[in-house]
Amino acid sequence: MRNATHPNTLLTSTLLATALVSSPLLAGTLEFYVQGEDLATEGFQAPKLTKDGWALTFEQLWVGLDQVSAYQTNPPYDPQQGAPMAVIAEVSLPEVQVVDLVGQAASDHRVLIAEVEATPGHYNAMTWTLAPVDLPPLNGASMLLIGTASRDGQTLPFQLQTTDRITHHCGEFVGDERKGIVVAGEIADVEMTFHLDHLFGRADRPADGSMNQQALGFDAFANDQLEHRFSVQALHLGHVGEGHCRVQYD
Amino acid sequence: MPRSIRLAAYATLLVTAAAANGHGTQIEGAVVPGIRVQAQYDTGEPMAEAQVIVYAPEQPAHPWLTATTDHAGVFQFVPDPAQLGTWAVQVRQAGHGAMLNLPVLPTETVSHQITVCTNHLSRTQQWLMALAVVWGLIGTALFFYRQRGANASS
Repeated sequence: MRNATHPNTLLTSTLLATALVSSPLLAGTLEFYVQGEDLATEGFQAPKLTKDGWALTFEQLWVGLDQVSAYQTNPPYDPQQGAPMAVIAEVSLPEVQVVDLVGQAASDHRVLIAEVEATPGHYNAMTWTLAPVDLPPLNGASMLLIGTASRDGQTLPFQLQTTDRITHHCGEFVGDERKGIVVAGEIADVEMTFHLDHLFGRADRPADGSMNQQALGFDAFANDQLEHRFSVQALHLGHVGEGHCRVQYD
Repeated sequence: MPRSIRLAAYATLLVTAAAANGHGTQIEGAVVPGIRVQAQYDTGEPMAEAQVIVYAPEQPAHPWLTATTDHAGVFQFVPDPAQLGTWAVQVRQAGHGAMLNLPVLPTETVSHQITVCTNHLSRTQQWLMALAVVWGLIGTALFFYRQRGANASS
């Protein structure tokens, strides 16, 4: 009698393969960070004053983050081209994140929001939404800044907020080191970065530069012109390191 | 609109030269394929003297080359032809940056060699296939020979 593959053998092989694929030895860890850089944790201090000369100190800087995902894409996603992402692997965070970019920041200005097991490979794209959250302290805002502004002996406490909902489609992190390369058994990270100088401008940058031309500054808040509310549309606060993202306003 | 960055790459031919030591001078030149990157803001302003980091396919987490753009925002380099795959070029300046991914494919000659390997059998493969055919014929003959013997005995 000729031997045929016994069903138990097939089952054993399948279970073994499944166990190997799901083994921690064949997976890595992807950490998700968010930060507002030194402008969030240290504020706008000379020479990095706002474009209209205000010094700002933040006590709290809350953001709501929803639908946060990192992707392996091939070809690598280019936000300037805007073509659909060709996704090979994806890691997503299941819950909305409410983060204080000041109070929760480590010494490197970053906040770790999640660690997720991830298939090895290069996570070279991200999507994430700056989203309104009904829970305190955001209470319907997507971004809330609480702090103190000072200029020429005048000191103003402030509480500013936006309710905008903006989805970011980002390529690879751009910065001092390359991020998102997951190796089996090791840890890599990806990062969402808020550039606050796109909101307030910078006195140490050319006044006629496009960033300062678009930024709101602080005068508009100091004189109640904006009633402490603002829109981040066209300001492009969200980045991945220094890399720009394609944005979609809902 | 906030300033963003545009990177463009062009295949180009670069002339490399090497100078020998000693009293005299010897120059050797070769024309090789290279990559030219043009970095500029979306305002059209070139990213002059910007930081450049090149990552090679085999060690994507470690810089293969660091350099700066010239006054026109141009940087050019010759990738290692032995490293096929995606080369990444990062250009940064004053808190803004972008990453450009450049697939470096086999040259036409190398590609042709790969095609030849996949479409034709080597001498060893041809011998193995012939042996398999012969063994199959022998096995079939033995099968019918045994069947006929069994029928004769019954």
